[in-house]
Amino acid sequence: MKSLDYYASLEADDLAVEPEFRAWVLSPSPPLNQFWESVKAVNPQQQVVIEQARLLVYGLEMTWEDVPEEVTEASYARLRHRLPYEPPAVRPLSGARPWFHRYRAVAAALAMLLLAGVGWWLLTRSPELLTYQTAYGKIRTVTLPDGSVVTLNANSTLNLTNNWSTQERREVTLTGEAYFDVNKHPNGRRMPFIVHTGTMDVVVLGTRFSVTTRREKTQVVLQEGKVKLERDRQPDIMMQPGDLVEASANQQKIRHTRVNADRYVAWRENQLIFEDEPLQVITQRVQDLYGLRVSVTDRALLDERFTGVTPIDQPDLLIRLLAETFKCRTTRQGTDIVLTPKTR
Amino acid sequence: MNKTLVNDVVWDAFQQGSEPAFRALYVAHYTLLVNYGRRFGADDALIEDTVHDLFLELWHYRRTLTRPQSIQSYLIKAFRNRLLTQLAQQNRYQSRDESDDSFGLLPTEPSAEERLIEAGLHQEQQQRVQKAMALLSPRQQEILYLRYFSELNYEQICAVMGITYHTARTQMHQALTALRKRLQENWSVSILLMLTVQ
Repeated sequence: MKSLDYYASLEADDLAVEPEFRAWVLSPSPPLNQFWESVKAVNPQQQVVIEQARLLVYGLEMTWEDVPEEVTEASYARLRHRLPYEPPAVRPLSGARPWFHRYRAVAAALAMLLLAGVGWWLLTRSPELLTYQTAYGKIRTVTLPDGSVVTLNANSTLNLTNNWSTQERREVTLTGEAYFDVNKHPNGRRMPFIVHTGTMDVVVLGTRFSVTTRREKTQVVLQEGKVKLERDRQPDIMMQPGDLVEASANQQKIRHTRVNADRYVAWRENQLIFEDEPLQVITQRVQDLYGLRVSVTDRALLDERFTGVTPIDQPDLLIRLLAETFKCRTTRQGTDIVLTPKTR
Repeated sequence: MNKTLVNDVVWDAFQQGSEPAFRALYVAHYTLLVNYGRRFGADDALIEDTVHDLFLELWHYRRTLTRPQSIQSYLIKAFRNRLLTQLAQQNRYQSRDESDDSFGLLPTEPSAEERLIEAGLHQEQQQRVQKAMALLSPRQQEILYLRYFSELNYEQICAVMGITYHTARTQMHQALTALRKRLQENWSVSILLMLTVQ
């Protein structure tokens, strides 16, 4: 917040556009009330202006209507239909191949049979072998045998560790980061769903949550439903929607806070969101997701904070953005990237 | 600061033909343009058509465009010009004699009303504020609107509306004075209340 005398000579319209002022008018809270009461106390001549600005905010807010995301997306989809089609640069195959056309249906049927066979073999033979993996910078969504849907973030592995068709529990092991949308009653039965990580087990009692387990640390964010965390020789933790719990292997202490859960699962929408994160944390994230090692020549930079949104499949864009924000030059050798502050 | 930075990078990506970047530009500005358009009395179908035409043209000429100083200001200005042209044509056919600055802060849907009652404004006060604002000239209302809902500064607002800086400042000043006069009664009550509470 700004200092109290900053508001000494503002006009009502200037005041109405200040974010801190709007926040107070539209959703007052004790700290904001206190702050604005002190502004009034320090600047008694501004009381009328403050009151006028309050009414301006009200009057203008009344004319605004948020457009739901789906409506915007639908509108864009309609526009997209009108975009000129730009054919990808594909070279046409030379010469017709009548034999292929004739037997195409047969070939497809054979391929289907072969695939089905392989699938059946994979499912029945040895359940430990069901493994899903993602490479650096790639996201993948898979449907598990029970109908649960899992989205794996980059550089992550998910193993099914028991045979779900014969046992009473569904167990998976995760390294990396994944978002789970668990099917509560597969085939009408109630079967616990358990995610093993290095540091704890997540026992699922319902629905949507994300788990990150990297660098000996596990973080769980619950978006919807109920989840119980079980740890070795420690009391269980029950999580509510919007809870974040973080535990590490070598420490007893856990972090349990309330967060905006949507932000933690934004990667599913191919978005990487940083909200006021120190560069230190960002470089770790970049290494986890893309396998790129970012280092800085000036260590003080590591504590500088950054806010921004980038598409998750464009690591180069993020690096460019970081370099621009912190006024750095980048030098890259293979997967090593060095940020050097520009001298002015 | 980061917001504009992201937008600049997004703009560059869009110019290089990235459809996700184009989509990001669209999504980032759609709500504002829709709300702004409604203030001119345009219906949602016309607004969407206008936004679509604008973005189709952007896409078509993306390679030859230069990056505007403020992307938001650029889009608002282009949108406003198109919409007002459309509205003028409609009015000609329907022989309505409204001038092209029919900007108005009309009362809107009940959802906003409820939100404000929650924030502590009585319905009666709301109506009073609305009435007082509706009595301002369309131009005054539009300056207020852009100042409040967009990120444009005075110079950019002037460029959008095609008025001089001096006019904008004077209009704003007059608007505030007029509002103050009309709401005087209202304040004496609320200031009294504030004093009694303290």
